[in-house]
Amino acid sequence: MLRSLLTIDGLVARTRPAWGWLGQVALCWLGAHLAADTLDDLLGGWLAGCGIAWPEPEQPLIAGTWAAVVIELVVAGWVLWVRSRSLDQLRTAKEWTRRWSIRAIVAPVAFGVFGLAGAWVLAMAVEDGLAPLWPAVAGPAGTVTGLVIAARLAVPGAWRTVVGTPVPRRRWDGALAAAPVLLLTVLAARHGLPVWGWLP
Amino acid sequence: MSVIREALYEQGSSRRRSAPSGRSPRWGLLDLCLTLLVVAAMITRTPTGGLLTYGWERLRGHSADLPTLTAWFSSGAAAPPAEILDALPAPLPAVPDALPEPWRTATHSSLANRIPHPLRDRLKAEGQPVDAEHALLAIDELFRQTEDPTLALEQAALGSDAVTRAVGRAAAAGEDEPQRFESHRRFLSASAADEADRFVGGTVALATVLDLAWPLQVEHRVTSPYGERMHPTLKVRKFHDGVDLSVPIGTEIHAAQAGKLAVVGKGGASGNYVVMDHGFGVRTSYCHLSETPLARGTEVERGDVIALSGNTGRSTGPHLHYGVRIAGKTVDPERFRVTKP
Ligand SMILES: [Zn+2]
Repeated sequence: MLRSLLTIDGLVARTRPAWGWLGQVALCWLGAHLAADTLDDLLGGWLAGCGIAWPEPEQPLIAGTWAAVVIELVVAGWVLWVRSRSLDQLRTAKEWTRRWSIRAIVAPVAFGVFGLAGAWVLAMAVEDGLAPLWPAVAGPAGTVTGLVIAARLAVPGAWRTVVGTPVPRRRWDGALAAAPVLLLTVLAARHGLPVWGWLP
Repeated sequence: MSVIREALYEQGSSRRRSAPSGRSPRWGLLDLCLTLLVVAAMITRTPTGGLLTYGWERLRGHSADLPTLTAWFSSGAAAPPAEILDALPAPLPAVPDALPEPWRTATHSSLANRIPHPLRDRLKAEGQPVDAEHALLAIDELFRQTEDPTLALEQAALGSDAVTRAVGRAAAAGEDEPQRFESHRRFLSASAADEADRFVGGTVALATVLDLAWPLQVEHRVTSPYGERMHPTLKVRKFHDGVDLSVPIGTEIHAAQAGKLAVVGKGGASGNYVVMDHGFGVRTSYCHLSETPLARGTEVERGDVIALSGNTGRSTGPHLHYGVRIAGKTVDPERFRVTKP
């Protein structure tokens, strides 16, 4: 029984290159959305105060939400693109330094933060799902799920963008996408990680 | 540790299929389950997932509507049901030591429309009849415990445990005032957030609009009502989304309800204008002003002076254009006029 389970486990593991990326990318999208959800109000307030003559007073707030949608979709596309181009297997730090570019620095930070925020989204979802059925177990089960997802998907996803760094055409590669990506990364770090309440 | 090390080396690499130690790969079933869990969550919880679902349905030849991408960005705003807005409830007699007015009237009206499940269960468990009157008494009891109408409504709609979890998460994420609904709404489960928007958001929005002050405290005429009209300067039929109140330049404009100045703008058709956010999707706007002394973000109380009227923007004479929106939709401000000048 255990032996056949291990065999199946090994077979599934061998197919991981075909679908492993999917979980990492979807996790980053969840984390990026948690950040974008705090961005719409910020943008709406900024658009209202930036001096544009809006024909209708409600428009800056609606425009802010749509701008947040666009930024989230751009970042989601960027995550998928970066992950699809992180397939190399660097062995030494020296190999990485020869390949550094803006993308090579931004990608691991963004994947790490988005992935961890996404893991927390899943931890909360599991806790909420179990709470009506099994209240005593819901909290610990959520925490364990979050930690396992962080260990198996979030951290490996970020690490993949390091060891998979492609050869850049220019050192400036990734500069264009860096602004929206870093904006959501900062928001995900500030509003999407359950650590700030413990800090003094 | 080996689990993490293996994941770090193996996952998704198309060039290298085994760990550096040469052992065959493991944990495939765990990773597959986690991936399915994450993808399922992504599909329901993000606009990207909504777009992918749409694309998938179209690929399969099914008809599907393009999702409203902003729907994933709701912030607690839900209009009260149309039937309640069409026939506004009459105020209930005041009851000491219960939910204060106008929340009590608004809550009774929401409960007559629909009683949330946790509240039904609570009434059944206590052997009481499941009707609006008993549900309202149960919420009065929750209010006596919390001393916060919004929190009492939220506990009634979701159960106390779900609210406690969300407040704890908002506190862990370092949000200011985690017990406020706006601060912890993001940390509710998707279904709980929807239910809270409907019941808490709808009820508080109703309470807010049932208690709107009129923005003018001087004698004035309504020169153009809400609704379809011939535009005075453009000479075309156009929907008028507020009321025009004729007053001399420099008349004091009062906040219709407590809230925050969400927009202080200049220029365009509205001239100098202010949009106030009263929470839960209720906004009031004041246009063609001469002076807007308060900065964006200022919190004011109901009835405070927020600006002076004027004749700026596309305007045929000194007047105040006053508009009310509930969850993005305009309503006729005169229907919510409780304080006559
Ligand atoms: Zn008008």
